[in-house]
Amino acid sequence: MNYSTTASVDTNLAKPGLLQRLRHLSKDDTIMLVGLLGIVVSMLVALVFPLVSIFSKSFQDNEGTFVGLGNFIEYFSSAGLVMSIWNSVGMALGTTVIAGLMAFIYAYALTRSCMPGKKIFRALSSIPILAPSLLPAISLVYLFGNQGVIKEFLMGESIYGIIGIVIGMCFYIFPHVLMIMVTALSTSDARLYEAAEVLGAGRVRIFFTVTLPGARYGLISAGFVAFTLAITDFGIPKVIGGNFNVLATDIYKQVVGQQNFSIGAVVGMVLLVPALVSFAVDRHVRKKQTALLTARSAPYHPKPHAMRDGILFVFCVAVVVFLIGILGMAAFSSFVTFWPYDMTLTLNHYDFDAVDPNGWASFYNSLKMAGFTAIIGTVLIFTGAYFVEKCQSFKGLRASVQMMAMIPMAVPGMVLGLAYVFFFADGDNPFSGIYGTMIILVVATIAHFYTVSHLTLVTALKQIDPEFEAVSASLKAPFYKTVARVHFPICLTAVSDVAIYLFVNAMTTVSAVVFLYAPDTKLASISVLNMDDVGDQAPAAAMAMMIVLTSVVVKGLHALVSRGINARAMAWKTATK
Amino acid sequence: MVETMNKISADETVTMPYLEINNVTKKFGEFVALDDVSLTVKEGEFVCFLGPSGCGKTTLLRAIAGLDFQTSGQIIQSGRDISHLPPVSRDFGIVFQSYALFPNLSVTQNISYGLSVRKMGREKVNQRVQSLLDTVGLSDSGAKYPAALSGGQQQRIALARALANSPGMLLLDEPLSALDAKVRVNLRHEMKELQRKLGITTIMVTHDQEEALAMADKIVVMNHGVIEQVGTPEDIYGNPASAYVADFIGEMNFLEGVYGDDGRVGMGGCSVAVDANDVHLQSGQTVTVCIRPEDVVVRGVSAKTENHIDVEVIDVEFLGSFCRAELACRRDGRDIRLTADFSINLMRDLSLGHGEKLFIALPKDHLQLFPGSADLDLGGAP
Repeated sequence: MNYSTTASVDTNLAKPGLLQRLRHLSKDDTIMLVGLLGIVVSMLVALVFPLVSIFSKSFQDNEGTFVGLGNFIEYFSSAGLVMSIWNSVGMALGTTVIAGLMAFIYAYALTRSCMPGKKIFRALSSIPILAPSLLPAISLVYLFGNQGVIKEFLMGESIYGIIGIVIGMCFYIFPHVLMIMVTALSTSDARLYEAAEVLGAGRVRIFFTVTLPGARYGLISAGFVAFTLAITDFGIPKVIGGNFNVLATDIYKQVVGQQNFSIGAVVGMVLLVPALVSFAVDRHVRKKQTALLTARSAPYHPKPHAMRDGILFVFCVAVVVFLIGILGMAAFSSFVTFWPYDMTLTLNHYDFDAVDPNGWASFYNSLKMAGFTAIIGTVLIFTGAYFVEKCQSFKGLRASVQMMAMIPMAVPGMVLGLAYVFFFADGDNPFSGIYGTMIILVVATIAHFYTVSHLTLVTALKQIDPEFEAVSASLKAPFYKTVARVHFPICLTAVSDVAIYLFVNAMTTVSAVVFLYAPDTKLASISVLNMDDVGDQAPAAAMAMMIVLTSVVVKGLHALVSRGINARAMAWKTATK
Repeated sequence: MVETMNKISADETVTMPYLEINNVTKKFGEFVALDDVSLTVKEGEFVCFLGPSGCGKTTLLRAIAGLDFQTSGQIIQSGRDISHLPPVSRDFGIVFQSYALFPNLSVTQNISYGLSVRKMGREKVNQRVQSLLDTVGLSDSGAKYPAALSGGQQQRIALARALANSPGMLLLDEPLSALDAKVRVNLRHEMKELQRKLGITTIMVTHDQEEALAMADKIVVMNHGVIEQVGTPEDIYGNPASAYVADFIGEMNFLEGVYGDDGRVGMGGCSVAVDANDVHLQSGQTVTVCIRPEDVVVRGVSAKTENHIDVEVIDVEFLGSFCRAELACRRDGRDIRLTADFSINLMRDLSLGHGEKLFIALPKDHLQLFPGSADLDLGGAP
């Protein structure tokens, strides 16, 4: 046999192979192909195309003519707008340092000390997740504003501006950063500490030579997450920023205030930079982190140490007082008749219909939106995750789903929302019909929170035996039967976690939807923003409290349901031999 | 004349293969996992694909199941071309090394997973499950969850599940590899017994030669995507087709030498007579002479015995029921080294020990002859 014939045989083989495969597609394969194509198309429409349109919009003027870098030149020659970049960076850096230190010490106390009440501290640390980011800002106004209870604490400084933003951000970002730091500090190898002690290293030396290096990747990752969250959040600077302009509020002002979409798109592009950098660093760091801990590592168990534990306990109490104080202030102010002149308690502020044209309707809209997001989102994301993880064929399609699923993590909500405006408000777009409806809010919210949900479900599915598909095919059972009877029940905990994550985020989010709501689809979080805008602070606080209450109730229900799920799963997980 | 024709057609129906694999090639990018593999399996036969990891045995099994499609080639099962059928449309049951039992379903639910209540009726399904449970000797375990069973029990359930639909063929992918040594030996015996009783055509993939020798009717030794040899266990062990097979199955001594005109192979200072009728050798060619350690003869060997060599015992390893001795035939410049298995009796009788000098014989009819040098590269290219 000579080489030329082999080569020609090879090329001939490849093509009929693919065609034959398509011709011989089984029923299962066809369903998977259609499903995968559906998900790819949805992701293109709900994510990629809008981002492309905001990107191209930043090179066009408001009439849609291509102006090259014109908008960027205009933007960067405006001293006021460039000032916002420095304001944003300074504020985000300040927040990162303060919230980072706070979360590190708190995480250290949770993982490396023997202080009492660790479980309670852990639970209380997630208070901010339940509230929209507007809440701490409103609360801070009540605490330190012109008529604030303890405004003397600021020694004459105004809360409106960078001080207020940073304090509010610390509240809002704390649980997110804490989560990463706790993970970083829990994945430590006890054997390293034993080795260091045997070698005679002191506590301080062990801290700097073992603890910090071991957690360094987590710390880096946490730092970038904090920075990105701070620089992209819109609610806090909107409420308490005063004249201190930042990028997130600039977008809003340019688009909603001045209808200057092109400059809005440019600010969006600028805002994308820190988010993209943070995303890249996080991905890089995550890969390294996993290599640190091997199967043979022994978990670290802290030994009691009275002074350390005491100091950490006091610190944690202080943090919790701060968290509860902010929440409590908002709660209290929502019941006060007329701050600070008439301090009698009342439920009047919860009569939203009297204050706001939408009244309670926006709250019900939020419930509806969050419900749809949780149900549709979970089903969709589970399907996507299943295909990515368990499908054998269509490698290219699966890889593209996996890649697109990562994008939302790197896109700030404001940018996504604005991108939707450009893409869906365009009358030529066949999907423009959803603009201004509840559907676009649901789509935007699912897209906004896709990545974390997707990763959670992929991780859960990864732990399931890869041969189940083969076995069920050999038993003549279609794959969806096995998904329904085996994969879904096994993943039920992760599935319910994702549903709750989507629900709570849909309740509290402001950034993506602020550009997308119509009068009859106004959401509770937007309502908080609007009422605060027109000076109805007490009803704004009351609506924010309604969101918190809903989140608490839903989380509580979730805890009950998960207990049920776990109890049922226990039957087959730990069946005794 | 008529008689002979009848006889031929009768023979054909008997030997008509159940499974036919024709020129199957599988490529993963540049890597060729299966290179033009052809094979037939008779109905009711127990076939083992044996080889080291990466030899293509699992790839071939997955191609037969339709789990990974071959790049080219044809697979025919009981007269039906299944080359491009998805696994659902093929006719097989499969058991994996990981058991792959659905953890959240009870044993009964696992076994009845492929049985349709709609078609068979609840009563029949229950009967079938119970009879399968009885077959694998776990009659009372129906209500348990897989996690409540030991590894060996789980694998029996997996086997019962694979048999539930009465498939035409049973595929076993390293079914015993995850089990403890003792359980493994018991279960392999039972599986073979069950297979014989049911008469189901079975293909098992394994890297364990002992398992293959003990269970298979026919062993397919694979290496680097090609079939090295197909034969009964006795064949494979006694008449390996290549040095690779000889080395992979059991223990083997490889002695390099030069073939001479006289039908003898010279190895350093000594030479042995060989039977070279099956191998076409030219005089002066480098050859490898192989002999299994247990075929080395010591009793009654003298300087007159054919193919005797004088050796010195270098080392003796006690292995329980027998001893493995390291022997060296010292010649100027070059030692010939080989291992030999001696029974405990023999050791006692001859009081063999370190440094002892003795005569051994390499009986002509136990010698295998392969052209080429003895440098075996079992991991590299053929």
